[in-house]
Amino acid sequence: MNYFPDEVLEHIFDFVTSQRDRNSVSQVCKPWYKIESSSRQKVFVGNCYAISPERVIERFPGLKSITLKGKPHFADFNLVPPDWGGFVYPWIEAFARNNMGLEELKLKRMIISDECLELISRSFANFKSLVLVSCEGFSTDGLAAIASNCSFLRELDLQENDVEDHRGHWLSCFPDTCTSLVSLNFACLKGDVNLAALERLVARSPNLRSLRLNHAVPLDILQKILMRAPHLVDLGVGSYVHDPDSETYNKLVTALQKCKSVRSLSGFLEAAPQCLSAFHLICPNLTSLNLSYAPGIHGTELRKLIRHCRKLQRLWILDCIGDEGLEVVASSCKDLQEIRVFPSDPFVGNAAVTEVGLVALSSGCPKLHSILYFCQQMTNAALITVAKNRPNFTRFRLCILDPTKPDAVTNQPLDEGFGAIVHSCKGLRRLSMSGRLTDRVFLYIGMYAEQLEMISIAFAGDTDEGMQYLLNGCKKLRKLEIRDCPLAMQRF
Amino acid sequence: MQGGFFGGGSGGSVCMSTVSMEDNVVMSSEDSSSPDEGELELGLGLSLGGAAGFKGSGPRGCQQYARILTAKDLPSKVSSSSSSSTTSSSSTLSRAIATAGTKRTADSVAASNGVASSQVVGWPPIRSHRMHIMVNQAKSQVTEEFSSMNKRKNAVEEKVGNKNINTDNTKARTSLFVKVNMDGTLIGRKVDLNAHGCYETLAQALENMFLRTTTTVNMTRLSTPEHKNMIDAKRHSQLLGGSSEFVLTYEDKDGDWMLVGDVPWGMFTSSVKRLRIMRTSEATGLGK
Repeated sequence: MNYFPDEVLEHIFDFVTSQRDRNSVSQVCKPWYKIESSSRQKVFVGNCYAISPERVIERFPGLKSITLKGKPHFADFNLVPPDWGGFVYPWIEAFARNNMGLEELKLKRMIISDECLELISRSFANFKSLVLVSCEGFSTDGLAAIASNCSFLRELDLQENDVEDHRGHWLSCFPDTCTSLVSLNFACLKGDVNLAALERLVARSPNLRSLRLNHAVPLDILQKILMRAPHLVDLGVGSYVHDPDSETYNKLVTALQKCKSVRSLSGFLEAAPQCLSAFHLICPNLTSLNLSYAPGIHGTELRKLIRHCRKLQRLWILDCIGDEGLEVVASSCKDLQEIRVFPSDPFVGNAAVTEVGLVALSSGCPKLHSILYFCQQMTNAALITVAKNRPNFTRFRLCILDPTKPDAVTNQPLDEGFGAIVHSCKGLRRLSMSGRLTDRVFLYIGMYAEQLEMISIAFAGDTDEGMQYLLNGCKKLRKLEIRDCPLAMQRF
Repeated sequence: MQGGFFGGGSGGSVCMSTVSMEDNVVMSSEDSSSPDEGELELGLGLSLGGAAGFKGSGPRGCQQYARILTAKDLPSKVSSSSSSSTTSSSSTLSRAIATAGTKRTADSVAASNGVASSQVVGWPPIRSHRMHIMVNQAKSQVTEEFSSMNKRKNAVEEKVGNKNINTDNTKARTSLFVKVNMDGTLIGRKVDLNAHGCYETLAQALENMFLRTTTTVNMTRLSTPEHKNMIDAKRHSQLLGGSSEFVLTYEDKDGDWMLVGDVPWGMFTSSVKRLRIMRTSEATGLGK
């Protein structure tokens, strides 16, 4: 089997990058297993408790980059007790003890302490990238340690973390010699930042391509930063509070004119008044727009902005865009592939979008394949139309704010509607359902959803039969989330 | 979600080939027929990392299993001041831990005060971080331009009205929750300032929350409405008039502690960060 020396095989394996493919390669034969394991640099662990750090180190001595996921998805919604676990410290401690050359760490839903961040910053000389998504347990002191000690830091990306803010001086901790930053995202931080330090940091980071600011960065600083970083590809605006007649605003327009590379826009964490015409300049090149944290942007100004975004592929928005606004999206954004519509006021229970917006999107956007839609109501007729319009859905997640609400017109369960979706969308991999649903919908899913890998169910079904249909039918199912379904659970 | 139903996401053989009894990821069901030694039993459930299973092998070995958590196990998010106090007094240890747990939890409890759709735990399924931001953004929006805030409210109401969805004015209003602490009381409360239009109702609500135990007894003795009004007026002045043991103060945007009641209500709500019911003896030095 082995006609090639190991080095050749290793070289060939370098071209195999996806985790699944590398796992397959490693199972061909023992020599291939050995070569693949010793040469693998990027490891993905979908459940931090599925394997011990020692075992990972033993198998992949050349590990440089690791992604770890901790708590289950339901933890995002406070459905998992806070003492569940998902601590990363044992991993870092093991890596440090074994002198691993760790360069990249990506964590999702894990608990990471300041001590751990400090350990990372001191133990790995070539540490380059820290990405934390939905993590907790740390403060800005930990960030200060990373900033101070990681001399070659390229990426510090904090997405939606719960960070204790000690009125950060952490930004000032980046030494003057640190010029390697490519990506900095601190949009989730609640406190103030040292604005002068931020400006200086941007000025000495020629490779900076992605910058997402938090709410404490005002417009005049934004404008100065943009002047220094015209090559930005991804921009997260912090605070957008301004006077449209002011000098600052004019300077912002000038700065934005120079930013010809921006493809992704987000933020606007505070926006008043709404005048966004300064950004109309960069809209035509945008492929990704995230206004889901910007309730201050809605109505006419929002629609005007969207109309300029002809190349948009990904849109995250609040439901205050309304069905009307979604119709504008459908008519303007023909390249749209993914959309997420979040409720702007989840506690009120009144979403401003309905089945009308969903149907408009499905008919107007031929490339749309991934949707997360929080809405007020849904009908079977609408879902059937959507299924007919858009058989290319791979991810379909529908959340009706009243979780057991039936068809808004006929008062029937939504079984037929979801049935149509799974029947028509042959490539569907992920499905989340809500509304009034009986066992029938599981019958449909079991029959038709052959590619389904992940499903989330809440308040659905009548008996265990529903679950049986599902589990017997969906051969590729990997992840199942259930809550509040009337199942006896004895047979499973 | 990555909760160990099938031993880990797309890292196929990385996870599965090395899952052994020590790793013990997945939970067996409560079926009494126990599995063979060394065989994994896959079952439904949120994997509970906590206790014994993940710290290496325990003596219980393959008989470890976990119950599926339901909403009953988690702190009741059905809010109204009385139910949250009931929860804390009668809860089991785990519930108390969960309630006292992360900041996230506490805030979302407060934020879901008094609204039907959110009396269900973890619904709608929105990340806690996003929920947090919504509540805080509602607060900061009040501090920014008032007119744009009103326009937005009207716009939302208008849009929603166009869709023939039932609204009423209270539903279109956003909440403005601030913390309230009282000297001598360990556990604080939260109050929605936007649910009140003036100082009097706010003071009354706070008195109900904090001082009810002392005034209730007096209240029941009196039967006439006239007396009740007198008592109400008296109670009003307890916190606002400065004639009692406690005085109501607030921390403003600049971090200064000020006496409640001096400025117009609107100005107050736009600059308040949190409230404190302070002992009058400590409050000397405050004031105009």
